[in-house]
Amino acid sequence: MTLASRLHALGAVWGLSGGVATPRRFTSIEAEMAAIRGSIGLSALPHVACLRVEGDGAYDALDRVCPAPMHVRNGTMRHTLLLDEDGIPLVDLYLCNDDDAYLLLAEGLPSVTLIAYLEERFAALAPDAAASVSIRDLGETHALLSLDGPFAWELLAALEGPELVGFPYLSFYHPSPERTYLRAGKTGEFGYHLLVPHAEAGPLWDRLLDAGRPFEIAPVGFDAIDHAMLESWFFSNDHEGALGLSPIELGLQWRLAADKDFVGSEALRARRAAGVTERIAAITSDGPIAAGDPLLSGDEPIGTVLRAARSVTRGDHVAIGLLDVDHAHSGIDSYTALHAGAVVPVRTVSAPFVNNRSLAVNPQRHAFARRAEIAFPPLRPAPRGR
Amino acid sequence: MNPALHARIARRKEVIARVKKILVESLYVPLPPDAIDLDVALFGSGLGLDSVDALELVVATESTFGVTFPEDVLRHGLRTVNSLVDLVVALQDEKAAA
Repeated sequence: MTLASRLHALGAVWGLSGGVATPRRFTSIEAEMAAIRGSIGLSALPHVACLRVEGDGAYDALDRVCPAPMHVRNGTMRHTLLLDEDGIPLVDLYLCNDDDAYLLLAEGLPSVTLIAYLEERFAALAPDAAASVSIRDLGETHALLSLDGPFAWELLAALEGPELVGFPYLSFYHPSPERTYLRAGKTGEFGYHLLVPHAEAGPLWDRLLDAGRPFEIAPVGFDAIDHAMLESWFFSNDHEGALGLSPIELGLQWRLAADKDFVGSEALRARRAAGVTERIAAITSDGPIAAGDPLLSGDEPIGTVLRAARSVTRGDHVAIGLLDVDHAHSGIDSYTALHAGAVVPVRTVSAPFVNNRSLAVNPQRHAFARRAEIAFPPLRPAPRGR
Repeated sequence: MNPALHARIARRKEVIARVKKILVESLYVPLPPDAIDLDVALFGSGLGLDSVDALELVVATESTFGVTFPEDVLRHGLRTVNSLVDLVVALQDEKAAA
């Protein structure tokens, strides 16, 4: 029985992310979010392209394409992007240094398209290096599972050994030559990506569900992960990443090196020189708002809602707004959105929208079975600085 | 923009500029101030600060703004530039009201 047949047997509803079919839901987004925020969610992520770039020219070729600084220590990873020539994000990328080869975990493009993107740009920008680079699509041989939740560490430690408790964020290791476990994730909770051979993926899924039963583990689809990403202010390729905005407007400049050329760097320099006029801001409201709603200060148009949802964790509505830079500041409660003909009061707030429970969990002292002893802060941050 | 909103945003911009100055000049964040996004995480990914930087950031911010951070709000207050600015503005208001 393959991993896919297990997912179908569990009732997975499939849909596209970045052009690739992925399990989007098993039960309800409320139940799946409860697992991610309170215990452990187990997911399969076939839409994440996993590539291995290796050879003598790998560093130089990637350096000319990738916006991030390339000095990534062996066994660690950097969260960055790949851009098009206009400086617009194509891919949300983890760049991992695996003993001078590079493991790329990318959301936004199918692996075949991503390989074509890399090969074309390697050849154009670093032709000497490109001759000695090979790109392997690990999706042909491996599957990617993910554990996300405040007690994900405890389940993995129970299965793989207590040394996992000290496994730092944005690092990875190989528990066997063909397996890679990465401390990553975009839910704001403890997250582990497990890259394993296809033949092991189904049995591992079963083991995690069995061993996770005392932790109230639940299979979760990408809809829940995507919702957790919004609540925790992680960039989504499927939403705000699909709107033609650059990392400057999207608040992703921290993923770019300030002092090197890369694909899209010239366009970003031109954009900065022309003056940045808009940027995203976090918004909450008690009433419903939706993508496309105009944002106003009094009668003055100041922006647009890019993405909105009723937050499962908070209970009110959360949104990403694109505001003119003069108005894109946190702590303002006098703006409104125009939604379906009604004026809805909104507040700009400081992201993220939730106090992740993982921030209060100390793997050295805490355990799921004794979670009642943990002093969790309210999931919804208290407003300050009005 | 109405005068009250203008004043509120102007005050916030001033605090943001001084927090960014601390990040660049005291903590050596390798980005120009304009490239430090307001909702970027200060620790872990994002700006990549560590626990030693946290202490330096608290000391420098308290000294710059003449405020004292209560320990129980630091975990949330130190998540992003914006949340740190929220904290500074709130503490300044509390101090002024006392």
